[in-house]
Parts: sequence; structure tokens; C-alpha cells
Amino acid sequence: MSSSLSNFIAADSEKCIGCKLCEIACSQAHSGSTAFTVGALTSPILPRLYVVQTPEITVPVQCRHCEDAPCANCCPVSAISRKNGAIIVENKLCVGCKTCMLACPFGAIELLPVYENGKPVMQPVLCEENETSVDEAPMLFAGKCDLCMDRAKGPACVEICPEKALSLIDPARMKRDRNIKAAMSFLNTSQNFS
Amino acid sequence: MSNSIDELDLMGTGNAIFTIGSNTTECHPIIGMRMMEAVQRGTKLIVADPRAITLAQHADVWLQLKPGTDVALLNSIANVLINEGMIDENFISTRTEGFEAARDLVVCYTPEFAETITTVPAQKVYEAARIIGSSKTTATYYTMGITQHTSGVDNVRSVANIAMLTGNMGKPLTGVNPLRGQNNVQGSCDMGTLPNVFPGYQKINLPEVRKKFSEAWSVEIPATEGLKLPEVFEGIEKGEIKGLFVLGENPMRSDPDITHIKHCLEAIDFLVVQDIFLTETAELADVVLPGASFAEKDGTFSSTERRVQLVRKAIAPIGNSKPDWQILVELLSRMGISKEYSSPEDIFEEIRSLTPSYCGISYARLETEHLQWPCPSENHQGTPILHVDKFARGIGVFLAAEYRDPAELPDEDYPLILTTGRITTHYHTGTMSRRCWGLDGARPEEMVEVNPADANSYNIEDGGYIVVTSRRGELRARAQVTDRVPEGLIFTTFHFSESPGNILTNSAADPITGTPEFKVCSAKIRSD
Repeated sequence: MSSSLSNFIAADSEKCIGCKLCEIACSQAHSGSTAFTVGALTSPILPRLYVVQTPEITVPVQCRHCEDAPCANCCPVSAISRKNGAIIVENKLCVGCKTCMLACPFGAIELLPVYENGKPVMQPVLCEENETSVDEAPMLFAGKCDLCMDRAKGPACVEICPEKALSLIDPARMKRDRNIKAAMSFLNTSQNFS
Repeated sequence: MSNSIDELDLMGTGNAIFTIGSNTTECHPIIGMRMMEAVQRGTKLIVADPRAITLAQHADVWLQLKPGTDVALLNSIANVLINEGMIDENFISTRTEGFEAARDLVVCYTPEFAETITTVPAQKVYEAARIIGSSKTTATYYTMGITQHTSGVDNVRSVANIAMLTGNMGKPLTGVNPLRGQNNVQGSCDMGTLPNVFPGYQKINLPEVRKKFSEAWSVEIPATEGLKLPEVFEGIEKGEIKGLFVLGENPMRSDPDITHIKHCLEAIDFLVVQDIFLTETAELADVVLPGASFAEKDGTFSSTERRVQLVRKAIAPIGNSKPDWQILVELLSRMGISKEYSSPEDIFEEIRSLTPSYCGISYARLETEHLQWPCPSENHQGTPILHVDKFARGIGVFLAAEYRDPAELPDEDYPLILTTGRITTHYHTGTMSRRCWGLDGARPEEMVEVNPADANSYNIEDGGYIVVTSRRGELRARAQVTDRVPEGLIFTTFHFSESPGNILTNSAADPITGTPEFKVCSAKIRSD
């Protein structure tokens, strides 16, 4: 059973210096831009992980790709689902109701503007003053970590972190490796078993 | 730095790092990362800083001192080291002088007495001193949190006293290590931009030094020292200075009390600014000379560990811009000085010929070798560690100082302490980083740090706009309500032109160096 657990990204707070390179790399990876440096990016910085700095800890937080994902369970338009072992938002279905933001225990979801070719995608909305006329507002969607599914080199935050504080955790493999390590620790003690 | 950055990689169990007045992971992230790696290998870490900076989270002891009380804190550490016999008597007797006077001065700075000044619990000072005194080595790192005070020189001397007391000088993994804030600020000091020295810190008041440079440059060099930055602005106010040439500096955002700076720069007869962008200072200039960026020129940078490194042109200068050296050579020739320079290397050859500490460094060697000055001859391998067998002046001197209050203390009208600093995403006055979409996007505006208790007193909401006012001016910015600052302290950067931190800061300066007290002034806040 456990072999089907979702992977997720986690960071080691013992290593994080709070430089926010992960936020910038995440924004670049989801910008659709092939810009080589942050100086050449055109759409705004819209990260899907968040460096948290309190007096006690400095570490980025992001989606845990929960097995019983409350965001997916509560989405009224079924825009959030499990795909290839990750919890994914279908941008086009999202209506921006923010129910998933309420449900997520990690604060891993943020309503983000949809950008195409460096420009915000606008959508018609009812005008506040006059309910019969229509205004334009940026289209929003529930943005969250998608494990960089479409990126050949894997998660951008993991790749960029200068301290290697971030890693892609495969919980099933982690468990197996730890089981093997624990088993190995018996190698030299078994002779003392009575 | 007396020592080298790489030494951090050799630290582990038994070694110690003492960081004071440096938000290293934020402002020197590469060095900060290596400090944290050293801590993971078992190195003890002591951090002295008023704010709960990231490094403090990983410290064995965090000394949360009140801003501007560094001398009292350092004297109390020295007090414990001496009282508990954790000093290197051999080092003190063979390498130093003035120990007795320093001992007599710090005798009254018991941790309990210092606590009344610094607010650091006495127990923490004992813990810190015992780590410094009992570790095999302790390397001390500091930055502007030590120097940007009216007691800046006393602060540095007090840091040096602890290093000398414990024999932590002239050996690997030790030293007094100021981390320079910019890629070539060490190099620019090395080249004699300070008012009292020629290149290589050769004193202007020595006749033989003046003679050497007079002959090399075929001009008579006056024996009078130049002016320090605060004296320059005083001179403008008094009408004694008529013209100013500003290169790669943005005093309209980086100097304290910028309302006064603006008044001076507008009053001056003639202002020339040479920079790569039209800075707030360049906007006031009569003439702007467009300089070339690092990618558009050849030359050398000298890093914080005194390492001289080649920088190579990647692209030709864009537009009308020129490398700084070409602009200066053209100015020289228009002023009737016929000295010809054909390339940066040509200039470097002159530097070598006149500067003993750079004498052994050449462009050819820099292609393949890592050289840290002093490097006095072609077969010298450079100097990774200073003061090995003796100090630069021969015998090291203990110069302990009494604690003095900062120039401006909180009162009824301005009840909060304001301290300033930097964040990772932006560089100095933001001249470059605010023009970079990604960096500006990652941190687009000022976020003044306010303690929750103060936020409560002044009805300030996290993320809401506030107005910060000092005796010199006011700025509007968002508030960040956080325990990273203690009650009574607020923190702002000086990266954001629209919320310029230095409109608030105090121009009171250290009497010896003229370095202003950016780290302490009084302020008040209200929500907006």
C-alpha cells in the first residue's frame, strides 16, 4: 500500500538561511518563461512556496500533497485532484472561491493571478457600482506546489537551493531505506541474542 | 579580515564562532551558509544581535543586546575571561602591551553590571565567555553593527581585546574578521580612497611616502589629510567646498539624514556624478558621467579576505558608457596631466610599483593563482592570515574603552529605538537590485519590523501602512509585526527610494572615523 504514497517537498530548517532563492526559482519555473536570469523575467514573482521567518525558525513551507487532501475533498467544482501521485489544481476549472485556502492546514494555497506571455489574463466581472454593466479583473486561480511535474529537471526549488535544504521526499522509499539501515544495525549484535 | 573565509570549512567540534553586529545569513549569505555548516559539524556559535536574526536561531548562545551597547557587552565578556583565568597569558606577555590598563578598566564591567546597560542576562555572558575561553579557537566576525555607531572605534577595539586576551590572532580558525559589504570596498580602501592614506595604507603624513608618490606622478602632493564624509558636507554648508565628484556612490539614499544631504547637494556650485544608473544623487548633478558595469570592463576586485581577483569584460560598454578608468584618464588629460595609461593592467603595474603589499601581484599570476595581500614579491604566495608572528604595528595594544551612550536616545517625543540594516533580496540603495524585475518582485517594498506589543500600543496592523518619524524626517511604509525585534525597537532597511530609511537616521558620527550612527536613533510610529 505504502508504495503509492505521494511525494512531497520538505526543507531542513537546520540548513535554511532564508535567502528566498527557492521562491524566485519557483516563480520562474511556473512563469512559462525561458529567461535565464531573474533580471529577464517579465511576469511578477508568484511563488508557490513561502519562506517563513519567525524569531524561532527560518524555513520554506509548501504543499504536502496529503493522502486525504482536504483541498481536493472540498473543492466545489472538482478543480483539485490527484494526478501521478501529486495533488494538482486545474487552473481553468478554478473559480477562486477560496474554500481550499480555508481547508489547507499548511497555508500552502494562495490565489494567484493567471499570467500568459508576461501579461495578466483578464476576465469579465460584474461592476461594483452598477450591477448591469461588466468590468474586467485579473483571473485568479488556487496556486500551489505541483512538484514541477512538467519540468525535466524536477522541482526547481530543490535544484536551486544553495544549502541543499530542500529535498523531494519519497516517503515509501525513505521508509524502506530506514528499515534497511535499522536492519543493518543488528549485524554485529545478533551474536549476543540469547 | 585578518583570516580567510575558507577556514570556516575547517571548523568543527572544539572550535567556536563569535558573530557580533552581523546578520550574516542575510547580508553575506555565502559566508552565513558556511557558518551554519560549521555549526552542524559541532562548532559552537555565539551571536550578539538585537534582532532574532536567522543565525541567532542556530546559536549556542544568543546575546540579545540593546542597540549601541556593544562596548559594555564586550567588556563584560573580557571581565569574565580575566576573572575565570581563561586568558592566553603567553600571548598577552609576548605579543601585546597595555593589558594591565585594560584589565583595570573592565574590572567593573561584571556581567551583572553590564546587564543594566545591555539588558543581556548575566548568565548568558558567562556562557558566551566560557565558550570563547575554552574553545581551541574562536574566530570573531563583525560588520556594520559594530562600526556604524558613535562608539564604532571603541567597539572594534573591544572586539580586538577579546581576540588578544584569548590568543585568537595570527592562527588558523581565529582572527578579527570584518565582513566587507560590497565586492570591491576592500579594494577601494586598498587604493587609498581614505582621506589619510595612499594606496596600500601608506600614511600621507610620512615625507618619504609623499616623496615617492610625488615623483611617480610628477606633481607636488600636499601633506594635509583629506576630508572625511561628514566633513565634506560640513564644508559644503560653510561654503568652503564648491564642487563634488561622486563615483559609484548614492549619498542621497546611503548617507544619514538625507534631507540635509539634499540641501547640501542642491547648494553646491558644481556636482558631478559617475554611475551606471541615474541614481537619486545623479538626478541632482550638473554633469552625469555614465560608467560601465562590472560586465563591461576589465580590472580587479579585492574581496573581504584581501583576495585580489581579475574581472574580465563580457560585453562592450552599452551606449555612451565607459569604464571608470577611461573616464578618469580623459579627465586627467583635460586637466593637463599627461600621464598615459593604455589598459587596466597598465594601471595595475603602477599600483604594484608604488604599493608594497601589492608588489608581488601581477595579472599573469592572477590568471592561475589565488593571492591575498600582503604579497610583497613575485615569489611570495600571499598572506591568508595576518599578524602571524607579530602585529602589523609590531606589538598589539589593548585599548579598552568605557561605555558611552549612543548620540540619540529614546524620550517622550520619540520613544522607540530605530535601527537600520539590509535584506538579502536588495543591494545597498537598490540602484541595481530594484531595477531587476525578479529581485524587486521578491521584495517590492519596505516592511518595517515592529514588535507585537508596540503594534498593539500604536494600533498597527501586520501589513498595514505606518508613518515612521524621527527628528529629521518621516517615511511611509508597510509594517511587519514580528517578534524578530524586541519591544521598543523598530527596524527598517535603506533599500527603498520611496520609503528611504536614511531620511530618519542620525548623522552623529564616530569622532575618529567619521562613520555615522546608522544603527541607533530615536523614532515614533503611527498607523496611516
